[in-house]
Amino acid sequence: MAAEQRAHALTHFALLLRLQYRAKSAYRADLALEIVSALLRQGTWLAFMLVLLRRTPVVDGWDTWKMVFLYGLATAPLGLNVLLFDGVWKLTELIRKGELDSLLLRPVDPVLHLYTRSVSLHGIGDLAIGILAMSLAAQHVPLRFGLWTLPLLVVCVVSGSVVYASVNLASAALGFWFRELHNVPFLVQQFTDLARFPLALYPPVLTAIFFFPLPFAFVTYLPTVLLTEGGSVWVVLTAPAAAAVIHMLARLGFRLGLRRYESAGN
Amino acid sequence: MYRGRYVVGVLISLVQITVLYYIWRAIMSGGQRHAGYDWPQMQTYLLLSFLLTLVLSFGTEERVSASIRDGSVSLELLKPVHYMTLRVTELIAALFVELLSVGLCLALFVSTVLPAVPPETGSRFLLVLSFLLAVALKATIAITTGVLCFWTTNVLGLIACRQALALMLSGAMFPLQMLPDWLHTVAYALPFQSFFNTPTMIYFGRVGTADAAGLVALQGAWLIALAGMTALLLNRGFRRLDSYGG
Repeated sequence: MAAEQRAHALTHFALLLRLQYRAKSAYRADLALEIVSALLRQGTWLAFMLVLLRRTPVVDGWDTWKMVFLYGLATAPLGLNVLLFDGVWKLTELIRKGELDSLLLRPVDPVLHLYTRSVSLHGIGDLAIGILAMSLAAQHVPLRFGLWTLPLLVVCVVSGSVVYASVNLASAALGFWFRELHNVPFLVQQFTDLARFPLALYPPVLTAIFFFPLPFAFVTYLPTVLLTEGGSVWVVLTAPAAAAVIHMLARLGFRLGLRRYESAGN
Repeated sequence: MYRGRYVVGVLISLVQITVLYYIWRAIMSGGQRHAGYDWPQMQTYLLLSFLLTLVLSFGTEERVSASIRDGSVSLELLKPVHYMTLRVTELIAALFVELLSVGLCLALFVSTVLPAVPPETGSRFLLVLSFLLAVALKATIAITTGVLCFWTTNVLGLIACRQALALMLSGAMFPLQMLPDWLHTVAYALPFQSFFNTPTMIYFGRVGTADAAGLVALQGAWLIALAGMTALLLNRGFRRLDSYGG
């Protein structure tokens, strides 16, 4: 029964996403603008690293290309997350306007429904820059696992997109309690910028944040260290584990928030 | 609650500058100099970058375009005030609030974590003028971005594009001297360097008085050019405006 329901949920998810994409692709200029803006935004940080590190090849034991690899591994799941789960950004608005009812009334998991509430194609730009950065870096950094790197990367990127989505869901769900602070998700989003650089640069308190409550370290920093320096392959498995745990917690937060939800009524 | 939102807004800029701060700190550890800056100077550089990002922040910029996107611009046109006057007054009002918070942040930072390096310029007058012009240029660009919404509803995309270009080519991330030569030339040919590079170059005494005056004049020229372009766009935009009324 449960398995069947899950299969249904996946079909629904795919269907809802497809509809959104069809609607979105009607606006060609907006689409192009979104992708260009993502390329520019990510390209800026990439250029920053290349310019800066041209003069200082090694920072705290991290050479330029290893940093570029980490940057890529952190940016690709960001893109995938935007492509699959971008509807989360609508949550604060739905709460404020009391329009969440329409999601709750349907016989589909409201979280899945929320995820597909909208899509942003700028994820294509993020994903492209992420893959580009990783493949550029792969030519300069010795990767310890040879061809096995590829499936390991896929695991990390997919788990990473779930981690990003869950963190966004949790921070948007704060809107149930603090209705007017609708820019908190943007603040959390900014932290993803920090997670794209070696955590060794930061003071321990800041590093700790990236294990919990924003567990980006498991999908970006730790896998990069593993893939470039070698070690137990089991480290990669912490990525899906972290994704599962944070997703459960985010859903829990969402459900707790729903109890406080007051509809606009009619 | 608006205050709460504003504080979160400040935190957003703070996180962004934190990335730059720690990367720079790692790079400059061991007393290295980059583009002629030592670490205390670089800290001040980043502080200036943070403060100038706070002035006319993202929220202000987005508000400018709101009336165009939701169509209420047609009501604004009925009023006996020119559209630009309206927007400029609005921005000035926002500016006062932001200057207050920038002042608070500045006082907080300088007295606690970051001891700032005093300006090393020969001409205080040019320094103040260049900061004022930088803010005026930012305001103009904000209005231009808003006006472009006559053609696209994707204001977030537009703002993101502009921010990305400005971040790198204004010198907010690193001194422009560090760019490869060709990109350096490109940066100087664009208006973005007038936002940040000009005032900081004068602040750190990197240019002589004559050169500083030239850079400030360039800021003025860009201000006039951009304001003219916005007026032109506005004119064309109003012609595109269909509104239902009654």
